[in-house]
Amino acid sequence: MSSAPTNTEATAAPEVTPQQIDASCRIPLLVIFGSSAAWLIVSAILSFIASLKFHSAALLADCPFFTYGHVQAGAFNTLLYGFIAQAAIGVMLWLIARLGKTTLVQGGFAAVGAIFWNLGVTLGLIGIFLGDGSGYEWFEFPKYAAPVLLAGYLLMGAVGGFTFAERKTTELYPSQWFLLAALFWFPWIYATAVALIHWYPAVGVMQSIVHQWYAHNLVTVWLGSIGIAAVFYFVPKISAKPLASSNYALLTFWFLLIFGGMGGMHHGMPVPAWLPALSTVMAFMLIGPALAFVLNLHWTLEDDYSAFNSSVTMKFVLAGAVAFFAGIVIQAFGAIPQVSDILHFTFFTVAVDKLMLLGFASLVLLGGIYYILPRVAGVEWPFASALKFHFLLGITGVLLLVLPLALGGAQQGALLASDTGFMDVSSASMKFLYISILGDLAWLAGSLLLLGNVKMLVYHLVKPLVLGCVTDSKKSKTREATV
Amino acid sequence: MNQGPLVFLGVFVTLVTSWFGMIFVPQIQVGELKPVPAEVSGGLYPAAKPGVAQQGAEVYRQQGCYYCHSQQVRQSGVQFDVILMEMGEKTNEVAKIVLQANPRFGDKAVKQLLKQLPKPVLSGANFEETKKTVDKLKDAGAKFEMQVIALGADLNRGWGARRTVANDYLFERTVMLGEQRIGPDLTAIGLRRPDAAWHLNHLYAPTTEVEGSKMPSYTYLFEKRPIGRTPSPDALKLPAAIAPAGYEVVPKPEAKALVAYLLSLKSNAAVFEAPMKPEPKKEDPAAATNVVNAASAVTKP
Ligand code: HEC
Repeated sequence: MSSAPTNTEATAAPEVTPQQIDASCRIPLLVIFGSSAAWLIVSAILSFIASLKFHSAALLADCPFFTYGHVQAGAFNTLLYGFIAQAAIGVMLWLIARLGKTTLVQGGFAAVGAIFWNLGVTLGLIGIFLGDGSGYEWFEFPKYAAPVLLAGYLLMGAVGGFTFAERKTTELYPSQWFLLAALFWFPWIYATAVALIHWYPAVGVMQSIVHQWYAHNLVTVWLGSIGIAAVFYFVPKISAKPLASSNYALLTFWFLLIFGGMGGMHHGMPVPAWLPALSTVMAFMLIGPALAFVLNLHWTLEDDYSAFNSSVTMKFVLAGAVAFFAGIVIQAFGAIPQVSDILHFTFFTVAVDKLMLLGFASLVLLGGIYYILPRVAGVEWPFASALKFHFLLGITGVLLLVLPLALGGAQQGALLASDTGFMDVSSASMKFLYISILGDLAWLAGSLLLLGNVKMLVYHLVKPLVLGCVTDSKKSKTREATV
Repeated sequence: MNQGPLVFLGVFVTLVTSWFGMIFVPQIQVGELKPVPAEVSGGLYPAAKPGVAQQGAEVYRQQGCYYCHSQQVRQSGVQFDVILMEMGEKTNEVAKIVLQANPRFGDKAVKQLLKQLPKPVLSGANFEETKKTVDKLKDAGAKFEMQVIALGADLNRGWGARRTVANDYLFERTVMLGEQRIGPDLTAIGLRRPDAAWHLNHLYAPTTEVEGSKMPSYTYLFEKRPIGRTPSPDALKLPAAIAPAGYEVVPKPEAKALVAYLLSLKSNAAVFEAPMKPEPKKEDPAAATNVVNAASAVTKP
């Protein structure tokens, strides 16, 4: 059980080669990763515009579609659903197939599901611009986008589920536990949130409880599970060292699900006091599984981080793992009532969100895309040297966003708790926001490198096919002519 | 061994636990809240908002105001005042208790103080201290009143009369507690700024009302039209610098509804579970000299 994903027990059935598995994933993953790369750019551009609007209120001020509330919501939600969730589903499907040593079952349905998903994200974004946003951060897509997204997920999830059931290995590798959990976690929490916020709206603050529960589960448990599954796959695979301890992985797994599922309410919310109190305790408990996770990686690599230099994917996923641990620890301390009193509602909260979404989820998923896409496409990355630069830009972006916003938020919180006038608090934050614009820019530049690479890769993939068709049809024409 | 079903079962159980604990139980607890009899005014609290304010809440959501404004007031702690109403029989003992609670005060000063009741004998004290004194006063048979005072940075900023509670949001279709305070909390904006004209000007051009404001302007919620023979009574009174010559700026229905919503935001009804921040007291020199304040060192002003 503690072996690397490569040498799980052989079974009697004829071996499916990795090449066959990759080929079965080709169409769905090209759709999924291709569109997520496009959404990454959309979100980065919107996020950049939102930051600029702080400094020049006149920017797009007379256009009702691009008011700050819309641009910011568009940036968040396209990042979360367009890029992160979609790429996570892609990585999940590929890992399920590879670890199960079986081809993707009915991959075509996953491709159709991905098209639905993208339709849902597009509808959602248009809805936000039209002012139909739900009013709940990270869950802004309007009522009419939700069924489309859900249908898309159910198609992709069903393919994942059936592929999991078809697995040719008897024992489960730790990543597979996480993937199985992720498969079911998302539709459950999303359907709950859609039902109690859109369809049968709960009374008053119960909606806020549902919203916080959803957002926390989405990031900590769902993205956490897929991210950890990917890290537990790639690190042993690339370093060619078996995962150090499957017992520790087991501990990470169960405690992530148990503690992660019970959090998200912050101190001072107008809800029954036991909810924030329980959330605070759970936030601290989560440090356990997060620590077990990073220690496991450290023991796996046995102090030998040379693989870090050899593979870009390794860089991305290790950086992501560190960000996950840091994010969990910071969230725990931020949940202490006295600390939360100061830091909640400030840019500090934004910094933590960026750390989890960009630093953890996005970096791990980018590492996954850079590893998986050339394999399923059967084409090398056209600009192989751009990968290194994307990593550098990605890290720079995350640091230039997280650090200034965290420091600025701490200052903002301290000033708000003092008797400084509100306008002075406001202007004191500006210099931190200026620096964070550089972070936005670095992230955008890195994202452009990915998109450029994906575009050329698809071009290289499609060109021979198109040329083939053209020459084929020419041949048939000449044949017709001769007949 | 095939662990698939086992893992699946475990995942299912944790998922159900999370759902049960964080959704189902709270739903039973707050999902069925009803308006309660108001403590002071009589009637029920909260009352449904007037229709136009409800439309305004929709505009607030549509424009994404909640990205910069919270609607949630927190309280970081409480302190207590004890006011002695009557000495009862054992006057000497009571005087001793008051002296114990306020050792800074001399014997004579306490005697002087207790001549004219009611008088505060403890103010701004923490729970343990208050309980000790109150228990003793009770044993001594004195009559007293106790006041709970809410503390916290949000309250100090005047963002609310008390912390917000679940009932405050009972009639909101969308509960926009907010995530950030790029702008001030708006829980009680209707009390803080009761003037509709101010809000309209501020929405049209925030910097006219607040110098250096970083709030975006919402000019598109207004209509700019040539001034006719009879100027519209709704037209904004803008400073000359930004008033367009020959034109008047008239709020669209959205802007009016939004302002009606802002003015409806008060959350100041007394409720059982959240103590109020006392109204800022008029300076009363006599009271200032007489207040016995042993515990003020423990708490922030
Ligand atoms: C980009 C962030 C941002 C957005 C979006 C925003 N505001 Fe503001 N708002 C501010 C800032 C900053 C201030 C403080 C400066 C000022 O009073 O203009 C403020 C102040 C206010 C005030 C005065 C508060 C007080 O205590 O005096 C009101 C009322 C207000 N905003 C309402 C709104 C409404 C209604 C919307 C949506 C249509 C909105 N705001 C959208 C940033 C924002």
